[in-house]
Amino acid sequence: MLLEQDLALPGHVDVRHREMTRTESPAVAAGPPLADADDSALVRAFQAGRTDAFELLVERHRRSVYQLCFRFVGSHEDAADLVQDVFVRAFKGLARFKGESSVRTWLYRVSVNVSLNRVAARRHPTEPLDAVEPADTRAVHPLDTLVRGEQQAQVRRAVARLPPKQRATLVLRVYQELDYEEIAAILGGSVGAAKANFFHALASLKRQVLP
Amino acid sequence: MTHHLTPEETIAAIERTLEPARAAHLDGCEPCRREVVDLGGVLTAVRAADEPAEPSPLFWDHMTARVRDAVHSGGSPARAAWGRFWQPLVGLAAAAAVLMWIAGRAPQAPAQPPATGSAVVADAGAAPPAEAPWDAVMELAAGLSLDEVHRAVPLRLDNAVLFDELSAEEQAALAELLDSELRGLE
Repeated sequence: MLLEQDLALPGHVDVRHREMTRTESPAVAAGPPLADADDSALVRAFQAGRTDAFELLVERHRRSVYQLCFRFVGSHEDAADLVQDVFVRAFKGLARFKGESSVRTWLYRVSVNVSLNRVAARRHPTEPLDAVEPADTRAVHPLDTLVRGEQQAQVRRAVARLPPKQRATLVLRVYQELDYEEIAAILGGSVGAAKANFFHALASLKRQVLP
Repeated sequence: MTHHLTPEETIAAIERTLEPARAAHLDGCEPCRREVVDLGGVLTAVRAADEPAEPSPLFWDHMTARVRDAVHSGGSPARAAWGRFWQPLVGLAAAAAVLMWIAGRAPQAPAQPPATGSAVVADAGAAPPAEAPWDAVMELAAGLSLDEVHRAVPLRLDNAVLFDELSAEEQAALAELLDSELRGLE
């Protein structure tokens, strides 16, 4: 029988014990508490039939997955769709997960893939990288919030126009603050290639946003 | 004279992890130093351009319900466990019950319960369909304890009533309110 604290989700009325008693099979309900288990243990529990372990994985990673997706698509609506897609794919693939990378790395890899696919589907096929207008630095003033906001928007547009792998590397390194080993694991390739992608992303942005 | 910094070394220099031997080159090489300064400036601009995305807490409830639905519709073996993703709606039911209590327990209820509130009527007899969202909410709401309501809604509930203490008309009004909220979540 699951203990209530195993299934606790903050901010919700905890009636799960009653709900689980009503709906869950004995095989799923049996087992030790999961709330304090690490990700690997949750994966093993899921693969052993504890489907409630997946809910804990969702709860742990949903925020960072959402933020990663948002940084690719730039809208709540799209990010909401993508994060749902990521976790549905994860649910379907978790039974085959072999633990060769961390759960986070695996989820990020799925997130990057679905995000880049969404971006690619929307991008104008003939829009060249050079189409980005250079920054109008004449208007920049350190105390001018509006100008600063526009400059930041211009940087975001420039980032959005980077080649997919450069953009993904930049997002994972700068915003998700991952090390190069994990970026290489997510995107495929070597650590050196990840650093080179990062360099080329910054160099491309330099051409676009600096005078 | 040593060769200029490679891309990897340039990144290392920006991140202050460049090995000392190459740092010596950087000190004496104006083109490399300028490149590091420029790209470091770009990196600062990229960091400043971030738009941290933080959705509403309600979004997570909705998202987990949507994932549950998507998995459920795929015929997943986890359908029983995902049933608990209706749990956030229990808070909604509790909140609605409290709202009714605040309104003085005298709502302008319709003469007949709305069609979507059939579970209220069904409590007296007919069994509701097992997987209808509304029925699931009503089933959970009917079993709420006062403590559970209190945890879901941070208000004084000294005079609150449990769902099964409501009159038929009050239950119908609550059904209508909850149905309206559920439609808003869809």
